[in-house]
Amino acid sequence: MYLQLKNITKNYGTIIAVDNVSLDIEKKEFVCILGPSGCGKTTLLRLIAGLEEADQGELFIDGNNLINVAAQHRGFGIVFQSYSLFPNMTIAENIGYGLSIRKTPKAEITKRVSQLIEQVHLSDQSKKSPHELSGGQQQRVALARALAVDPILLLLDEPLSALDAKVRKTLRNEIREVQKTLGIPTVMVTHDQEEAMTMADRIVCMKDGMIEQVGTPSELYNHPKTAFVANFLGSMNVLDSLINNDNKLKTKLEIDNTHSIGIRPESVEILENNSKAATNCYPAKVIKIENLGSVSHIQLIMNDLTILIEKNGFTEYKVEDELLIHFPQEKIISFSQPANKRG
Amino acid sequence: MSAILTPTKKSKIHPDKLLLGFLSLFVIIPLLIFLVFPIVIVLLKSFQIGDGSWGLGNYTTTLSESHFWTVVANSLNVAITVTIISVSLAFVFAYAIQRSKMPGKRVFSLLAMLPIFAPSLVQALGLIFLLGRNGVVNRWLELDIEIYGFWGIVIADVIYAFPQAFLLLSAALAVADSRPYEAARMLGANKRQIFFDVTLPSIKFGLISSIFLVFTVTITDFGNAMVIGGNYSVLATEIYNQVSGQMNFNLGSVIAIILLIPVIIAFIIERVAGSKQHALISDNADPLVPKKNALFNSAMFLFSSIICSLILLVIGIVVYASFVKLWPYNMSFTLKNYNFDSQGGYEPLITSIVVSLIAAVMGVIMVISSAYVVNKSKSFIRDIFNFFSILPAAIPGMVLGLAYIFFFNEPANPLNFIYGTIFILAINNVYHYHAQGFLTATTSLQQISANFDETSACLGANLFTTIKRVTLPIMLPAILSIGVFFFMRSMVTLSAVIFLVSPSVNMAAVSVMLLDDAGNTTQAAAFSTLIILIVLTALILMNLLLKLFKVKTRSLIS
Repeated sequence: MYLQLKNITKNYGTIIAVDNVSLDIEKKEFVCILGPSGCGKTTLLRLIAGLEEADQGELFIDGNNLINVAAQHRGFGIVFQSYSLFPNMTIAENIGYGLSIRKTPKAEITKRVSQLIEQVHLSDQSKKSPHELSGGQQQRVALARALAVDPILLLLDEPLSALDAKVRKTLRNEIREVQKTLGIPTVMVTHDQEEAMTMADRIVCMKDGMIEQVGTPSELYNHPKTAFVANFLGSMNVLDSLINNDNKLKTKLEIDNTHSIGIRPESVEILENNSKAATNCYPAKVIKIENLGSVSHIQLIMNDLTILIEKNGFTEYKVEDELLIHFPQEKIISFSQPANKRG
Repeated sequence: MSAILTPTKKSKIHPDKLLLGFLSLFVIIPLLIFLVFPIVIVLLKSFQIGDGSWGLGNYTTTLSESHFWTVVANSLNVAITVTIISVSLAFVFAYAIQRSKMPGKRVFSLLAMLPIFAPSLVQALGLIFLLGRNGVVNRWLELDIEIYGFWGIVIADVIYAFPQAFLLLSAALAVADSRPYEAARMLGANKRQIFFDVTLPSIKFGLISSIFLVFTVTITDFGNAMVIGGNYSVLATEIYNQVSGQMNFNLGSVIAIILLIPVIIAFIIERVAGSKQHALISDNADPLVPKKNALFNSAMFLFSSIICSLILLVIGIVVYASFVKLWPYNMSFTLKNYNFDSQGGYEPLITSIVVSLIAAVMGVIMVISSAYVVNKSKSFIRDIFNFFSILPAAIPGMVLGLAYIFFFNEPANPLNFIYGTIFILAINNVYHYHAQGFLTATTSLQQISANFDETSACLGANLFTTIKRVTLPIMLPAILSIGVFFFMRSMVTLSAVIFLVSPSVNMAAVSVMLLDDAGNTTQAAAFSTLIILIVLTALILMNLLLKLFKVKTRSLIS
């Protein structure tokens, strides 16, 4: 492993921002730290950067312990959500800033800067001031500035959150391209699951200062360990109340009752009348329909339980329709923890 | 890579923290020496009786005199009257500038600022040229208006305080969100209701701030009261009379301490109000655009024209009088008033310029250092530095001047050697106007995102490099405007330096007062004109420089 976090803890007074976090990141890997606001993801990134001091724990890069190395000596690149381009410098000066700090010869800086400007598609903008550029362009400059010093690790703090949806998608791909080309290990913080899913080699899902689950996007989506992870990456119907609830229901869910269980909205099937499946079938009434265009969301009520179903295209069902729904056994996900904290 | 990854040992203090620590000392030691200790001495002196023993004697003597209570009542009368008139006029004027579509707004706002570019006795001087015994009105219309006394002080101070109230109210009215106005209209509110239910609440804190600022400026004003007060004595002139006239320093400090009370109360209320001002505006506000309304715009134009004409008249007549042979008998043109034959000729003006330049440089360094420490420190240190940095706003100039005599004229003080030099004048100005400069520096620093520092650190810069290459260049417009602010205030100030000048080291504004006192009013006018000219030149230079740097900024002054 390349970057190694060992039992990192950070408190702010009585609040535990990062709670005993351990994590390994490989060389060339793109890792996303994903979680809701206040989960400690940004603090964790700032601890890696050296902008905050950890109360406990150790941080290794390539086997060197970094915990007492100041940010200025770590040689990492960082990009913030707010671009943070120095307003008193031109685009070229911004990109060359880190190199000039390192006393790199002028000619070399000029060469490197123009190469980077080209790489982020801003060739004709080098003499401009930051405020003359759009948000997306500014963030490209910030990325170029971080990359100029050949950082041994790239840190991205919600770099796309301030941009509008279209720019975000383009820049998402550009960042991933550059990262792959350079093979630079990258840690990105985001609260946007779509960003994490599309960009990351691995996702670290955080909650309340602790890591909930680490894995590839497909592992986290298809095999979430907790209901929190399941809900954060997409939606989840939690079916706990169906376990051992034998009197009211025609069929029992065939699953052991030590775990919390759930099913993704797109995995729930609607059975046509009279076609009776053997198990996991329940009658339910439609209470809400949402047609989103490419998909539609059907909300049903089943005893006291609300179930969300996602179907392709527009739906013909209407509110008050009585339907028979089916939870395919192989699509039911079982969590290691009960799902009572988040619905 | 090993070069980059050199761990600094935990036991060793990080150089960045060392720099911040050094900066803290650099700020706090002068604050103690040049602000806190002298003020404490004034407080102590007020308890020291003539024979050297301690007690409440000075207070019982002072408080039992009926004359003293008359002076207190006079001061309050003047301050309250001026506050009501000045804030009302400034409010309508600021409303006209910010919320109407009248023409000539730029010219109006510039003219309205004129009074603070002159010493706070030029307004009184102008009034005397207009309405005094030998004033144009009494002469030409053969009237017998008596301007000396209460109304003289009130009118002069209304003019002096007007631009300061206007600045605050204008800023409060400038940031308006159009949505509450549209919402109120849609809900059926009429103009009067909208004014009372939307406009007034949204500028509530700006209004409170301006009321207490004008009150403070007026109750501590010395120059106008001295020139036009006649026999009408107020606290500030009373301190001067006790100290300079009767050499009664201890009684002077009693009055100084008493003058502190209303000023500190006003200061606290103003601070609390000021701190709440910002919370009212959200990021995504939709700016209010004034509607076209011919009648309203004409009314506002008329009002603004009258106000600006009056200001221009009062200041302009001083300039005019400076070119007159023998006011009011021979009004023909001459330059001989500029040939100053008493009070050291041009020397006080040159001293003032030198003192103001030193004060500008020192002021910039001190307030920016202080603001930087406050910005980067944790709660405890931040609060202390913040408190001491803003404290001067609650200390009247007279009190600070008196404090400097006590503290620096003491032979036992190792800093005694600066007494009577231009340095004590410059330092006095730095700490007299410390609060306003500091607040501008703080605002400017707060606008610089912490991410700039962090980005710079991650790119390998230490704190010193970051300050030099990022923080200071971004702050350049603020630095320039703080420097000009200190220069300008030092050029026109009278109250604080009046106790610190000597025949050999005199300042321009004091010279004006002495010339006027000696009956040499046209030379006083000439001296005032030169002061205004220098201040205006500094402002124009600043604006040219800012244009050169292509920066658009809201400065302290304009």
